[in-house]
Amino acid sequence: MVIIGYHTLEDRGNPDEILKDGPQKCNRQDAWFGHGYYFWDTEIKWAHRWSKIPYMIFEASIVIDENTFDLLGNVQHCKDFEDSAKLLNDRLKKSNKRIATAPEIIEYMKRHTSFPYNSIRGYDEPKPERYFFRNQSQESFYLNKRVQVCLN
Amino acid sequence: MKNIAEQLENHLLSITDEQFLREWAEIEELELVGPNSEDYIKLMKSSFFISTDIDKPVVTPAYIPSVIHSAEGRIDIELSGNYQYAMAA
Repeated sequence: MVIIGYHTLEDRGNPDEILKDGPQKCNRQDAWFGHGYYFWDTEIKWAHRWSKIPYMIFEASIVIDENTFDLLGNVQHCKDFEDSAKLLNDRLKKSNKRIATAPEIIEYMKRHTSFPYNSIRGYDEPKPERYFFRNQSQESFYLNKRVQVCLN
Repeated sequence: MKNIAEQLENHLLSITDEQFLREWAEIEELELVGPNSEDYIKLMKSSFFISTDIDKPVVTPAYIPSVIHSAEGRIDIELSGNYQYAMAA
């Protein structure tokens, strides 16, 4: 499967450099899945969030395949992450450590398992929209996810 | 091959507490704090900009999504074989 991704960069009037060097690696400590090249999945509106700074947006065709650790669309991968997080947090709790953040769990998985993936896809739900399957029932699902792909 | 969680479990079972703490200290050194709920809000406003020079005047039409597909054309560049990108200028 191929998705369209959007990567935002400050416009420093250096398109030639950007063309040569490509997207910028995100080394922010609060990045969702650790260091990597981040792209918003499909929805360009998430790339348009800053109204006072000149910027450019890259459009990317990104392959989502067996090389992607897909926390959006692969139930086995979600289970792998949940199980790993529980194992790790149990061990941390025994050592009187705080629970691990998502990027910490990912980084530990990368270092101590085969982790045969070169990209990670995941999401958050800052403004979830709830849809009910039928009236007078709490059974429902949520949409309006913000989805990102991190290329390592 | 065992799945990732099974591999992680085997690894954790194979190491001492001291070794685990050493491994975890290396992870903590990276300070991968991850976003909290307040950070999410900031993230929505400032996602992945290299800097925030708010005094610089707005000179680019890049706020208009269609500019990405402007008359300048689409520029596809092979980066790693896994993805391509097109630049909006």
